[in-house]
Amino acid sequence: MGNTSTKESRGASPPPHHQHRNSRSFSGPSSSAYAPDMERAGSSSLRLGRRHRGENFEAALLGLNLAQHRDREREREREEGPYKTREERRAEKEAERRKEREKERERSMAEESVDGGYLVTVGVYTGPEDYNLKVVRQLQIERRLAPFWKGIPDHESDWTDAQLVAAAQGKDIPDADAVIPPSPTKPANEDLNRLTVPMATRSRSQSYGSDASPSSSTGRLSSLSLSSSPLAGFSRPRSKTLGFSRSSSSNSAPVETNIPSKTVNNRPIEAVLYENASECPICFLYYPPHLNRTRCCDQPICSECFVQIKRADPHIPEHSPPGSPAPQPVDQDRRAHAGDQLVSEPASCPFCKQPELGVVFTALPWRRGLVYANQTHPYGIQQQSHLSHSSNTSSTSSLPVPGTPTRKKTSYAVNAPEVITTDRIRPDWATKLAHAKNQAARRAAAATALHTAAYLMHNMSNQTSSASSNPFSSRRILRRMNNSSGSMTPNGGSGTVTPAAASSTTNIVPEVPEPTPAAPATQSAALQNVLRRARMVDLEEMMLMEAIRLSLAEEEERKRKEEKEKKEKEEANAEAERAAARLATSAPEPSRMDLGKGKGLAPRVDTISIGRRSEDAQSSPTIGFGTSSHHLKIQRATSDVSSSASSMKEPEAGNSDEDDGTEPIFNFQSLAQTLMEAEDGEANGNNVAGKGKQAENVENVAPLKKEADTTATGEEPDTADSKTAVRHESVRVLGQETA
Amino acid sequence: MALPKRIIKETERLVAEPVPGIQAIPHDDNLRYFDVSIHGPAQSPYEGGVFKLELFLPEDYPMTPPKIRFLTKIYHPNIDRLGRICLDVLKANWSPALQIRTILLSIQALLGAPNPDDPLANDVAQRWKEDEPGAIATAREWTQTHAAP
Repeated sequence: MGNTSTKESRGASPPPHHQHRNSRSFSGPSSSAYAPDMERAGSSSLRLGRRHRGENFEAALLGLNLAQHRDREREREREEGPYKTREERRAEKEAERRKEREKERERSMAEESVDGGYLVTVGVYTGPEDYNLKVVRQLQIERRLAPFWKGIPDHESDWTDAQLVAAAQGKDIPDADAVIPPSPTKPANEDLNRLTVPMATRSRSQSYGSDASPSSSTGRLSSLSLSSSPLAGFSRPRSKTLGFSRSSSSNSAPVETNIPSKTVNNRPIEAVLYENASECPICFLYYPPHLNRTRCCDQPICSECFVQIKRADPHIPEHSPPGSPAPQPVDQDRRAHAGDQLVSEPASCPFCKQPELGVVFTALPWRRGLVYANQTHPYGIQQQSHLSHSSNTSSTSSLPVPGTPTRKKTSYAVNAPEVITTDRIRPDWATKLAHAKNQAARRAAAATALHTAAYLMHNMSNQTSSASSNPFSSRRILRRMNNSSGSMTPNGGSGTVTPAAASSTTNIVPEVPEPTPAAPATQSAALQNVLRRARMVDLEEMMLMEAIRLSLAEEEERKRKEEKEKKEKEEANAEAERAAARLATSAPEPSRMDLGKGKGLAPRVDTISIGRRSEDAQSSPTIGFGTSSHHLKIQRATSDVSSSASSMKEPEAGNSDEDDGTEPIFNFQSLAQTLMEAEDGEANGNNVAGKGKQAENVENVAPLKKEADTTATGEEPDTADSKTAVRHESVRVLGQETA
Repeated sequence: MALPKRIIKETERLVAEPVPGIQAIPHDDNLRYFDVSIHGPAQSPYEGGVFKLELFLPEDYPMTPPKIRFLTKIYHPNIDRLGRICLDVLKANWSPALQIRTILLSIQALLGAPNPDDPLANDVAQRWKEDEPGAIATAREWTQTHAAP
């Protein structure tokens, strides 16, 4: 790696600040919204086409080699303004998704049912459905999770069937002597009770592990037309990709079939279901008394509430969580590093607070609506499925005896086969945690590099200028950062991208530079870890830090300019004299002067012209010194090196033709790189070269640090980055020159 | 947006079977916003005081806890000058099975059992640890000054 990394080279064409903004925004919320998007994309093959195109872009941004996409995107941002469009587009996408989900829900509620309930939420909660729709659907068809029954707001135990039906259908409760109105949706052929009707091929349900494959979109057949053609029989096996279909050779793959009857024992299904309705203690609605029960304390919970319960967002562990279970496997590599400290605990039971909420659903004695054709009893399919996709089913013996739906146990182990955990319906939690950790690690690495730079600058400025009254001493920064990390609340890891948020890692920062006394060995080990991570740091994060640093330089520069104004004249005079003296000794070099000023001047070198020229150099740097960098060097050599006022400006004009957009990053990158390598003790050739660069970088930033006041540290990077693009160049060029 | 049935039912039940010493009345124009008053528990420095609080049920209640704040000034190690309350069930230990009723009872219990080891108001907690009788006297004093019914 190092300076020639390809990632960085993509910054060559656009202006640095623009690129920075772009990259920063996609590392933020959009990519976190990315995972659920994909989940949903797979949920309906019908939507796949359009969805995919939209997300391809995201995927492209996430590191695939699609530079064109990026450019196009950048173009669009330039035209419409980057912030607004991005948000707008996301909002549009979200709205579209909602609309489609709404349509899907309507369709499903009209066509599909499981034991009088639905396979889609019926709207108790209005937030986003971020659980895995496919998994929940399958579990419900397998009768392992209660279907989404409609919750009714009120319930009386003496309601008649007609009243119950009306309540379940959301109508006004009729008088007790009312008769049940004929349902228009009731199929005519009720005597064909266990008639199996093929459901249209539903891509959603047919693949568990694989994302919806394009081949599955054979179209949507309405169940209405199907129910009139019962000869279709078992239509098609579920996807071949289904994990457990391979493991069970004796059984054919499950087929979704429909039991269309709406009656149970000649009573309307609603009446039977809601006869002894019970209240869900969370949403306070009445449901059939067959709700899921928590595995730990046997409390009822409706599916609608259950799918809302999830892990908290990844966060920094609270001090000694009492009675918390064994840590997640991901915690095992926990180090003194913010990214690794993030944890995500499984949701605990809302009723008894026992960790790892899981529910058990006992299937009804009868079945209506969708079933899997070869599922003979509630746990038939479950047995095989568990053999394949959960390896830790140690207690298969606890399966209830078929045909006895009464529960023998009141509590189940979390890995019992009947238990559906919140993680089961949100399999992406690990991804989310990993993502959060990644982000934190990046932030931490950026902060590390920043502090390293600050420390080195401090050291250098102590050497170059013995002024001990440096208001921006790194000690002070570190102390401040440590303070803020001390007062950090557990929500520190929730994703704020302020520099302060990264300060949680400052415990390792003082060890970065060697001069720190008494660095404990353990911490330096942690440091190694950090530095290794820093190596993987993304460009955008480096840019962000660069922007912070340069914003300091910007502020510094502003002050310097004022100072410069004053100094300028005497400086110019002095320099003119010196230059004249210098040229007087090296007078027989007319060719150089030719390059510098053109033909007219060559033979006649007098102090006046030189004087004017050096004045030009001071006051108006944009004037064409062209290629006369040698000449500039002469001047620089003679002028006072420490007068950084001129040194900030001159090279910008003189050497601008050598500049390209990628360079400014490298100074910084190389600094971080060098430090990492030095720390890792990798003695390769880069080391030496790197050290040179390190020195040069420090040298050229050191003067900037002197006057930078503390207010600049808190500055948000995005306000700074655009301003500092130009400073970038000057700093770099200066670096080259001093080298 | 329609008010979730749960909130309607909770409100109805709060009115139908009020908790002794606790009152919660929703605003007419915003049924998620409640005016709450809690009587200081007996045998506590807050006895005899009536403390006003505000309670707001956020959009995703009950999946997220209600937001509650003391409006009456109170000298308590777990309640800061702005009236914010340090109570686990209002934060990480919230559970959707809890309700307005139960959470207000928890707050009332907190008044009866200050916990200076997990402070929100550091100065108060410090004093509570070092000079408990003095701190209790101050709490009593503040109750009389600010929370007189």
